[in-house]
Amino acid sequence: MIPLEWELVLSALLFSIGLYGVLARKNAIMVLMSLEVVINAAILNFVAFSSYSNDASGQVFALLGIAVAAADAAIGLAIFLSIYQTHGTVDMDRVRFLRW
Amino acid sequence: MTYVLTVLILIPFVGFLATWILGRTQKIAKWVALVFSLAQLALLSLILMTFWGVSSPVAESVLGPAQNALPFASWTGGYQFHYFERAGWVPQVGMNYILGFDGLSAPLAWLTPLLTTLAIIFHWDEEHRPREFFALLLFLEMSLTGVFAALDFFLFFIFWELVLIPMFFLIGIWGGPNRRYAALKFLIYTHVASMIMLLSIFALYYTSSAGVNAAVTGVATAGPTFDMTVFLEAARRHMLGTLGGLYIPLATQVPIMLGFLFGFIVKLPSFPFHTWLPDAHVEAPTGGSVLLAGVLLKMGGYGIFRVLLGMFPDAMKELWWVLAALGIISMVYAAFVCLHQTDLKRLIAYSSVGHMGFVTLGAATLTTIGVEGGIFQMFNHGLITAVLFMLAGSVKHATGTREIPKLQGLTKVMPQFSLVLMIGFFASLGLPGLNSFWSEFMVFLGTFSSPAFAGWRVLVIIPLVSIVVTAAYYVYTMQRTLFGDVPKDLEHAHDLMPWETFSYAVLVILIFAVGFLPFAVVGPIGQYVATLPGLTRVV
Amino acid sequence: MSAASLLLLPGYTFVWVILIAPLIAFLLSALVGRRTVEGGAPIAIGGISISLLLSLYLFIQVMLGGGLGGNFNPVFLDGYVWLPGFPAGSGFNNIVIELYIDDLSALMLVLVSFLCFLIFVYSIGYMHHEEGKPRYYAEVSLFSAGMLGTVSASNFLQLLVFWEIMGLCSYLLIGFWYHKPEAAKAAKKAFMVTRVGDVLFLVGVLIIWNQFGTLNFYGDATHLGIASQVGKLSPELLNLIPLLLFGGAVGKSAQFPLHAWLPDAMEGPTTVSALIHAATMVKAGVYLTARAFIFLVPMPYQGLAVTPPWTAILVIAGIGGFTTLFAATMAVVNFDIKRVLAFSTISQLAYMFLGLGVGAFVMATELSSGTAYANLDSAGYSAAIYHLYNHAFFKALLFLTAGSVIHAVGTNDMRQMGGLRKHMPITSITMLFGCLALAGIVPFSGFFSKGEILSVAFEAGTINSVYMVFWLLGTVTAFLTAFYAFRLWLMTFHGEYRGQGHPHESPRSMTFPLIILGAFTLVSGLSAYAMGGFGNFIFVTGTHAEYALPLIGVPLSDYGLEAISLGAALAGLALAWLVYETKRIPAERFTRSPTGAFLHKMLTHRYWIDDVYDAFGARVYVGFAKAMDWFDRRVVDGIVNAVGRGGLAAAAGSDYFDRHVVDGAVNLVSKEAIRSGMRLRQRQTGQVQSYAWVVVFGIVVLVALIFGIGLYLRLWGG
Repeated sequence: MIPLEWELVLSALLFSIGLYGVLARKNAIMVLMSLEVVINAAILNFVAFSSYSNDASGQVFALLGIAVAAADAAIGLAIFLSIYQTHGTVDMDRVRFLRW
Repeated sequence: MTYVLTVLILIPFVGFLATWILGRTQKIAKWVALVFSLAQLALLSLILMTFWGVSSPVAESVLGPAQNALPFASWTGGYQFHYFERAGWVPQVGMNYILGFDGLSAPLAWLTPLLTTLAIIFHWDEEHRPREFFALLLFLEMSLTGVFAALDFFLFFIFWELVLIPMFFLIGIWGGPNRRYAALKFLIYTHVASMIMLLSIFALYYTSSAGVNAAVTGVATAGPTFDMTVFLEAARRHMLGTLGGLYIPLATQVPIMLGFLFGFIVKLPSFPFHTWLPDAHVEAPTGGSVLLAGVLLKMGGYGIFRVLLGMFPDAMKELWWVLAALGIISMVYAAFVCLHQTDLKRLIAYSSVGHMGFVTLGAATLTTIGVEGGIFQMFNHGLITAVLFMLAGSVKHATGTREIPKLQGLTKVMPQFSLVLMIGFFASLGLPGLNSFWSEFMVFLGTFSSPAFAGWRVLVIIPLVSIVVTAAYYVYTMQRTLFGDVPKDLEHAHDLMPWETFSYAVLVILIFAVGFLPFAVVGPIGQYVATLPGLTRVV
Repeated sequence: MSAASLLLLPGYTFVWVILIAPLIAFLLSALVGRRTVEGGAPIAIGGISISLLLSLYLFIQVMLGGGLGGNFNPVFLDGYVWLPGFPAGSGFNNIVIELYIDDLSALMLVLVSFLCFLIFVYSIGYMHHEEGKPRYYAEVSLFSAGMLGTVSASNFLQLLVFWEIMGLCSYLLIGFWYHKPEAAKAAKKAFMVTRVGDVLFLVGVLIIWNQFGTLNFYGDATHLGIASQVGKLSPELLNLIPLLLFGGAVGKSAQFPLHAWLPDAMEGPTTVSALIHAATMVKAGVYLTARAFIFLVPMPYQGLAVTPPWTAILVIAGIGGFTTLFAATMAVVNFDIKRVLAFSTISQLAYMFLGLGVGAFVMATELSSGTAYANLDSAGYSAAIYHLYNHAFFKALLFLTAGSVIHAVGTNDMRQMGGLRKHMPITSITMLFGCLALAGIVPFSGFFSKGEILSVAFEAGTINSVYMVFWLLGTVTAFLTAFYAFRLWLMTFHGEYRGQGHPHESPRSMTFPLIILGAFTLVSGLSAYAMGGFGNFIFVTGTHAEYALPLIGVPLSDYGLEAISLGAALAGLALAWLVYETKRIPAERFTRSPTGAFLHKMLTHRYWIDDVYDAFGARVYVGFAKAMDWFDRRVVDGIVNAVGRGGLAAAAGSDYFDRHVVDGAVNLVSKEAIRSGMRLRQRQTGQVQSYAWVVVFGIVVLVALIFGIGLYLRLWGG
């Protein structure tokens, strides 16, 4: 049995890596992938606590989280595709038309 | 049909969706919108007819027998609604889905589909994003009907706020050159007022509604409620002295009433909160102006007569002079401002401010005839001002300008237009025999006979001055625009389009009909006023 | 339903048709007028003919029903409820439309429909060449419906409604030639000035409703009426109400100080001037004041006599007396043929108000000295209505003849007329009749009524010497009236023709009404004999008040008074003759020999008496008239204009205030919001990642805070 702390540390590492990617990468696809990493860190937490406290609801949430992550990726990719078509780039620095 | 009022609100909403979805071309959009708007007009006309005691097989089969319902089965008298619906919404916190039509709401609500239909017809040649335009008109129609039908404060407030959305877009997309400023000003100004009204609604809810609810329904455990009928009935019994428990004490009534008053007089609008109106009107498209002046302003008046007079009789007895002063100042002030306007539409907008002064003054008299006159004035103003704003649209359409100094001798090139303009102006200045004469006359009668005004009776002279000034600016405008020789650039102005003529014909016939048979509208209004508490019946 | 079968309906139901027929004619001329010959004239004439026939029938019915003996019971014709009283359906205090038929309204109906009929017929010829005939006939038809409704209304509000319909038609018809700026201006002026009076009238109506809960003049078994309850008013209100009603009358009948619109109203077609601004609409003010007698001479209330409103009576008589002279003086200096007649109309209307005022004074005096209400001497009232009746005929005639002249010569300026007698014999003779009636020369109609008014004024003067001043004013005016009437006639028809072209007599459709009206200048005066005295026929109280025939059976002093007024008129006539006829004798014929030259000089100067007259006339008299004219234009009209300008300035001021102060405050708030927004939006780079950095930073700070606070509490919090 792997101690809970290990799993939490792994999750925290994953989160930090993902967060770094979200903040630092310029390519939107990379940002999206980093975002998936962040979500996975959260899911890992759910699973870890679920097995720790013998409660299945954590795993249910984990499944929900996977579904959300999939939807999230799909929508995100669709948006980036649409942005690429209209603006010719997915560079986060150049995509600033939300600014008014 | 048991849910006739729900259907009434749903018709334009379905129409809104249908227009949006189906309206691929201008032609489809306008026809779909027209059909739904006409359907609501037909249904509402049937409802209005039941107020005259006219029952036809058609009405019976569509509406079922008139209900004359009391809001609660345990009540024995008081407010009766010809059509009434109640369903739980969030009953745990006292929010319910309550709709009702009585003599106050029915005539005003009837204006909504009438003017929407005419606005759709008037914009028969609208080519700029027609699908959205007609769809938004129907959405506006839905929310306005909802305001007049809702009898639950929360529902009322939702509809009240929903009205802003379509109007904001109507001004912002189809408006004149300065439309963004006007649309924002309209939205923010009236929204702030609504927020203060919302504060009052919550204050009413938290401070008093539980006790009032318990007293009126006889259920000791009844919780706080947003139900308007409970407050109406409680205030009525309070004035009759039959309410077991105490009604909201005066010290609580006054601040709550002032919050409501602010919300209403901004909408009305009344001096000094009227400046959003001319800007909004000048920029709004004709159909938007027609509904804005014709129905939207009436929401404020409706609130005054339903909420202020119905629920705060004690506070009104103390603060009638606030309404009276606002009304009188609006009348005189707007009349003078009108005299100096050069934009025809701005002039008409300011004249609305003046005519709405009669509404506030009528409410302030606290007499039956004055209140009847105030409500009647709203109805008449709806008809007349629709004509006037359409005229401003027509003249812009035909000549490209609304500037009075640039217009001259229109009688020669636009005879039909000139005829309608004369009728509209004379109706608006209160020519005896036309509709608004009666309402103004009733307001003056009320003011003159009001016990509240005893000692202030000389002040009646001030609004009478406004009658002369009103006549002056209208006659002066006619002299400048209609008479004289035709300048070169106007020689080829075209007269009214056929669909415009139709819209005018309907309204002009109504103006004359109401002028000759004012009792047709005053009758239903009188049924409502008879149940209002705390009014003096004069002579 | 034909007109004949209508008469079979019970009671007086057919009277409604008198009103409705011209109303239908109005709609028909407006809708299909352009398809008929003469642009709707047959429709308008047809409509008014029905009214005329039915009015005559009604008149005969009223006479047979006891109108002459004073036993006719007034009839109410219930219409429908305009405004339900409160609560709805209770029938309490309903405001209704209903007709009231008594002697006065029956007479007025005949008078109005008859004059309308004649003038419509005349219009066929006069308006033949004009454009917009359907509009014209529609508007005059609507007008006649309005006037017929005014004189048959049972209550003050209904009277006001029809009164305003007339005002609207007057506005439209003055501006008939709308492309003329003067016409548009005159129309506006007419509407605005009368509107001022109407507002006073409206206030009067409001007070009446407030006080009595009804607006009917008289009541009967089923109707509430004002007349019998006037006594419950406070003395102030009893004075105020008739004054407010009189305010409306002053506007409508163009009395000082609201008279300025009537001369300008002559910009409309001459037929309109004849119909609206001479014969009918301007009489509505007199009619209203006659109806206001229920306040001026109040009935006893609960068995006690009521103190009459002396102030109101004095004001009415005073305005009347002053305006007679005031308007007549202005008529003397004018060269516009229609304006002379307009000033004359003002002056003659003032006579009627004078008659009503002094009549009310005499009656009120008798009332307070204990005479029973039924036995009051209503001579002044009768005389005023009599003058209204006569004046309607002769002034319509004068305007129509003036129209005939204008039609022929194409100008209003009398200096470009002259000598038309030869070219237009019928017009010339009928106008002479009109002038004689206007001047008050026996046996033409004006003599009887004007003489009666003045004799009642004299009688009032013997009671209160203030009223003697009014008698004096009236007598001086009688002199002036004759003078300007004949100045007009002589300048137009005598001497040499000074204009261009070849004037010729008007078509038969125009001369026919002239001949009829010319005959009526005699008939209307003498008709009083047939009635056994005009007062026998029109009276104010429920029972008949004694009133003798003109010139027969009156006290001897009356003969003296009649002689004075006749003398004044004759003097005026003579003066006109001296000034405008004889001085046109060419001088050269007499100046060939020195004797002849001297004789000529003496004769042309009429022994220099003419020069004295002239000097007096030109310097003092015309000067005074000019001053009056100046006063009228500069001071009275100037005040109107100044008020208008003041209004504009106030409008500009309030507009400025609205834009900058009221709206400025609103804009300031919004600007402040925008400015802070501008500053904050610098932070909005649009880069999602920079937002994310802020979020992360925020979280870090938040977590640090939570830990910090936890640590703090653990260490020091205990």
